[in-house]
Amino acid sequence: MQIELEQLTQLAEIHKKLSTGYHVSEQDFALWQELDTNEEAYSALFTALGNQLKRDSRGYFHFDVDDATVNMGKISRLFALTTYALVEFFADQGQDPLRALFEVEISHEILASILQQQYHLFEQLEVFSATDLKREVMNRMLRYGFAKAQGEHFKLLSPVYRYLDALMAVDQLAEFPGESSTSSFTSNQEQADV
Amino acid sequence: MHYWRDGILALPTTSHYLQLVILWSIPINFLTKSYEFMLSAKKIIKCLDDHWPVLETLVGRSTLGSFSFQDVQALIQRHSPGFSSEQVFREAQRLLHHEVLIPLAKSSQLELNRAVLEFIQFLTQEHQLGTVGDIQSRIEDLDRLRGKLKAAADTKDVSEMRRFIRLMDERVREVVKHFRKNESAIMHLVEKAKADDTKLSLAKRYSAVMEAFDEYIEPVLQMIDINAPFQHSMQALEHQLSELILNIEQTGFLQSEKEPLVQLRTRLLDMNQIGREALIRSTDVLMPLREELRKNTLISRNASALLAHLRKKGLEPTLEQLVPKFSSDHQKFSLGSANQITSYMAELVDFQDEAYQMPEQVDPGDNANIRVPDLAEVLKSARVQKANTDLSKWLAKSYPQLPVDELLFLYQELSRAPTLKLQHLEQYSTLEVNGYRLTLHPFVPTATSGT
Repeated sequence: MQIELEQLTQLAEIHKKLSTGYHVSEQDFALWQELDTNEEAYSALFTALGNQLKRDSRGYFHFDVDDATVNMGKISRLFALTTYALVEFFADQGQDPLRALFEVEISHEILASILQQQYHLFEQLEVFSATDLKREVMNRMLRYGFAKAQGEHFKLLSPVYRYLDALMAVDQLAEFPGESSTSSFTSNQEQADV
Repeated sequence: MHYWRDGILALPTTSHYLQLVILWSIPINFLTKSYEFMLSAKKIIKCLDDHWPVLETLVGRSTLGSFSFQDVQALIQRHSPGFSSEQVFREAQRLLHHEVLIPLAKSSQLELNRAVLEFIQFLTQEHQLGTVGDIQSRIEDLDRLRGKLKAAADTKDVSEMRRFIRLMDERVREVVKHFRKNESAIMHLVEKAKADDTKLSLAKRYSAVMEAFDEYIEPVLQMIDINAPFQHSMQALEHQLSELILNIEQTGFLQSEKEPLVQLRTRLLDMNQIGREALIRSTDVLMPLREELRKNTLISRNASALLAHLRKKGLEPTLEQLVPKFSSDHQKFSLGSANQITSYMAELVDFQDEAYQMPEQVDPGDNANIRVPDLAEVLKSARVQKANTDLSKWLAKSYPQLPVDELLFLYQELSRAPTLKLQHLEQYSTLEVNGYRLTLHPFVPTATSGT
């Protein structure tokens, strides 16, 4: 196809952002608009340059990368853990986790709570305090387009769905053979007898 | 592991070791029957290692009841498909022989050796919740030992003191073990309740959790309440230990017992702290379920299941495959990232050679190969041949392929050579050499030289 480069006015900016791992979502109004209108041309151009432009129906664009550097692996793990810890946190609060995830502003207190709840996991990724969590995770989420700043607080954006999708793929993990929630009780009594 | 926030980093290894020792010491009390052969620890460990997946499955099943020898064989067959039926039978026999599996009384059904079961539960962090009684009885024992220690100290009976200190130390470690084990058990209960995907009513789903709260958390909270006997015994014990230590410091008597006493006191204070923190954490995770606040959606259920999995199996292997990947600054700036190399290789697959017309080589002719004649030789041959014609014409005739510049050089040299006796003519002569036309006053030999 014929790509009219003059028409892709935001090309430099878009390529720079996407190639550094940024996720363009609807809040990046100008870039989003540009990608939305000329999706085909951008997609073809980036494919020719060796990058796969992906559009998600929930409102974000990103480059599909199948090899991430080791360092990015760690960052992505931190994002995953933080997202799941937030889901757990909101569910325990009695809120619908999916809605709360995108609606509730994430404050320092919330970060401190999830850190405390999942300390032994965050610890493995060298996050030891809410300040660490803010610096290592939330600020990076800003940089990669997973969150936006709301004053002192953070708000998650639609690219977080990438982690929720991954979460939905873990069904098989929970299946341990011969396990059921009702059975543990009988064994309590057994043990008490011993 | 759960030794974070303890503030005592040196402890876990020793307490781990002790836990193992305690766990393995159980069968001696448990199996009152006398056996003719000794249990070989190494062989049992080897057994556990060889049949770990089988045993892990059996641990899961053992909460449901006993199983048959055929079940075990079927499991071994499933995990080692290469085995012949004879091998499977032998392996199942081996588990039985080493008492990893134990037959139930008056039945052909089997169950896991209690010690093995608890050991595996300890390793997989799937403890079963103990009772308050476990902790209570140790505390009472500590109280009793306190009296004995005091009596021994009063009579200055060193060996008895030593014995009581060791026993008290043991009790304290056991209490700590129970606190930790029960915290882990509550985590396990909560995780299971949260991740359970069966369509149970809330009351049913959380029944185990509720019971854990009522049967364990509440009583333990009451027990360690500031006005409860637990605190009094702890304070009394700490007071007594401090007094003993002070006494040793002042009198210098029983100096060798000071160190164990200090250790015991530290461990005692730690025990208190660990117990409180474990309880706080347990209450934190139980509360949302007890209050029926917890929102159960597909996502929250999966999040719980995953976090539980990470807690038990470690972070790296699971998240590794799971997390989405995105590129990094590093990738942008590094030229040889795998992505680029892959696409380059992919392009190589489609590579087709293209005929490219190289430019024709320009024929340099023979000039390049011509040997420039030596001046002395030329001079000699000029003299010998008595070239008495025009010098330039003779040169052109003798060396027809010589480049013009070389020719002119020779011409000039020869013209100056005294041996040739040349004279310069007035008239012009013209000759063509390799496409150049030269016009010059030719040198010819003088009349005398010719003769």
